[in-house]
Amino acid sequence: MAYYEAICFWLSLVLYALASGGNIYALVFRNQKVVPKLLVLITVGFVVHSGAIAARYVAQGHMPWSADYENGLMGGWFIILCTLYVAWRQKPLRVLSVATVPTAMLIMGYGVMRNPTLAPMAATLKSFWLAIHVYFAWLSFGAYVLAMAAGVIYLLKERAVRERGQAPAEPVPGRFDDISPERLDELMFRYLVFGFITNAIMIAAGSIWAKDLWGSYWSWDPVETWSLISWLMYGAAIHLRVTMGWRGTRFSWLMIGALITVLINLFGVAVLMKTTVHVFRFS
Amino acid sequence: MLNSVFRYLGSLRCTIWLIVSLLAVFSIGFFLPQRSLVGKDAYLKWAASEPFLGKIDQALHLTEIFTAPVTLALWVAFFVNLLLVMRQRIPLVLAKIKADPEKALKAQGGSGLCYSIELDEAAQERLPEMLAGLGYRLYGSTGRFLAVKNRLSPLASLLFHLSFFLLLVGWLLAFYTRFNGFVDVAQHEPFLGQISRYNASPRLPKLGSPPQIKLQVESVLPEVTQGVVTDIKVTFKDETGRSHEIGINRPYKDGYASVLFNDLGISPLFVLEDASGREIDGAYVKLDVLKGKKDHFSMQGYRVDALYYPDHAVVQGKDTTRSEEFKNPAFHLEVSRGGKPIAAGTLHPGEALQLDGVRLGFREQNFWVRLLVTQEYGRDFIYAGFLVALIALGWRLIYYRRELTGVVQETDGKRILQLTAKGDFYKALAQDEFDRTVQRLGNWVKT
Ligand code: HEM
Repeated sequence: MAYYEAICFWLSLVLYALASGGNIYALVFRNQKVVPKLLVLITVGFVVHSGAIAARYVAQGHMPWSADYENGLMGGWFIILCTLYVAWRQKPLRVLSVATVPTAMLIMGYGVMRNPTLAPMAATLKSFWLAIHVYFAWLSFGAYVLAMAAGVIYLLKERAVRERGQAPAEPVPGRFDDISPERLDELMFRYLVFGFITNAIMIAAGSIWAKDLWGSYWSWDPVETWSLISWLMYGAAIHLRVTMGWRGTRFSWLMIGALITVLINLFGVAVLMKTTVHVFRFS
Repeated sequence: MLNSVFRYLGSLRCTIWLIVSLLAVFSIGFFLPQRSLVGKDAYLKWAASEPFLGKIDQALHLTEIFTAPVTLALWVAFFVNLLLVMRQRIPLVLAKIKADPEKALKAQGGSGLCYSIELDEAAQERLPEMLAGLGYRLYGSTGRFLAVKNRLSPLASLLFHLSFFLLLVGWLLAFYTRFNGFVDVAQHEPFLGQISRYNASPRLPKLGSPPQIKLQVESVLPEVTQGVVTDIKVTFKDETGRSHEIGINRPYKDGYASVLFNDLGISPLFVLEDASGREIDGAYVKLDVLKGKKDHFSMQGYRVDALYYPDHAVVQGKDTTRSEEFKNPAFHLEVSRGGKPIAAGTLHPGEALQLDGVRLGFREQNFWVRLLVTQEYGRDFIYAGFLVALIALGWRLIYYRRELTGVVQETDGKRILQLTAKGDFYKALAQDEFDRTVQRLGNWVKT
């Protein structure tokens, strides 16, 4: 890690941690008044986080998009970016930060424990198609995290509704009261759809890149295999909703569970598989 | 019995099970090392370290899961299911895109969002124009109508699923026409495309003939920074004498054939001279010595074992390399004859080692490259498949169909337009959009 990068990285983690603590407070004590202040904290954290990326860029001379630490750094950044974007577009969606910020912290924390050393850009990573591939991977990842967060809020809200014996469509005072369960349910689908389309672009671009790098579009390499698993999983989820009518609680659990496939895609391939074939002996 | 299997194969429940089964099969391929990927040696090592899994594997061929009969059967079922379901969907989709105002008015019932707008006769006449401004096309009369935005979007669902067939055709074409061979070529060494020059056994196409690639590598320029390969430039001439440069991620493409850089090795020129300085023998030998590996070659009955230091230094009397960069190349050579050691020493380019009456000189250092030559047809179908799938996904899921049904009623001398709005996929979230749409319509009506 570069000097300023390390400072910014840890500072952003602290700010995100404070915001997450505040979110838990708001949740437990049913005090939503603090939520706008927490959003300010997250925004400051995001600016500092961007500083960490900029410092790394300056130190290395290329965008950080390889290996676990950089996956965590950029993945976390995209998650927060998506969170802030939806919160800016629609105030009630600020509440999604309850689940998205801890997810970003988790992957950043995991990444930093692995390999934050600075390295020049390997020739294998210099490709237009790879840039498209990585960019859309982050977008889809951010959208899937939002879908998961909407699922978490849906479940919390549903429990609150059950406790109070109110009809599900009615707002629950003190608990995310400006967003109805029906909206949350549809938001899950909307984020899922965005993630699914960007994920499809990511797979297509990755496969065109693979042809230039390894000579074939698809070789069932663990990385390729798992990204297909993850896409098919979300495809199955779309089917379950569109053709089998899955909604609400079941669909929320599906969105939370399906995110595991994405996390494995991000880190697990390196952890679970000791070898992926696509390495140059020379490199 | 056969009928019910056929009926099940045409059902959406079957689709879900097929996708889940494919997920399961791919997960096996992810967790268990696949022979085709890791190679025979690595597979045998794994099987020895995991005797239990190894036994299961031998029985069920789990380490060749992507080509296992069960997987192929699943793919066949997948495409049969896809065909059957899509055949059922075609009339439904066609019915959906047919804009029939009376049917829509009946079907709408109370399921949509309801709005009412007061208007006058002139505004009513202008409704088609106003709705067009909002992206809707009006069907029927201005008093009883259906207005639709993105009417054809349901067609995209068929298009998306049928794009899988384009990918299938592309994959089949690529599978049957694929040629795949690795060839090691040293700098200045011509390669005339002979099949016998390829390493091991190249994969020959089941249909068609191998590519006629002829080339001569002119220069190899690797760039290593901090142990990371940051670039490599391989320049070669084709048979017409034209120069091409390839590198990692930058293959040379000739129609459906391509030449990719795959690996790099050291190709030094060693020369054997007698006592009078006359050359007895000499050759560019291809050595696999990068990353500290030991390799050997033979010359005039001498066996020469070689270790390579790209950035040579001597630390505490021992040869070592400061980095992986080719800054100060040197070889440590151990020469023997009939198993008897004769001489040993470390040479830089231009230096020589004294043997029993002759000298082994290290003249210059060149490289050899391992090139991967491939050829396969089907690219056009694969690209078309990707493109159609992506366009269709966007069309179906972002530009989804929205419809408004409208009836103008006269009550208490007022002319009221009763609107019902409905969109595919969303209801609660669609409300904001429909509220805005109706508000804009209301504003226009007022002006
Ligand atoms: C045997 C294979 C498949 C069949 C028979 C099938 C069938 C269907 C059907 C009938 C619909 C509902 C269409 C509608 O009402 O508008 C649908 C929707 C959808 N399917 Fe599939 N599907 C298959 C495989 C897949 C796969 C592998 C994916 C991607 C992972 C996928 C992605 C989608 C998506 C995104 C939708 C929602 C958009 C739309 O309506 O087209 N499908 N599918």
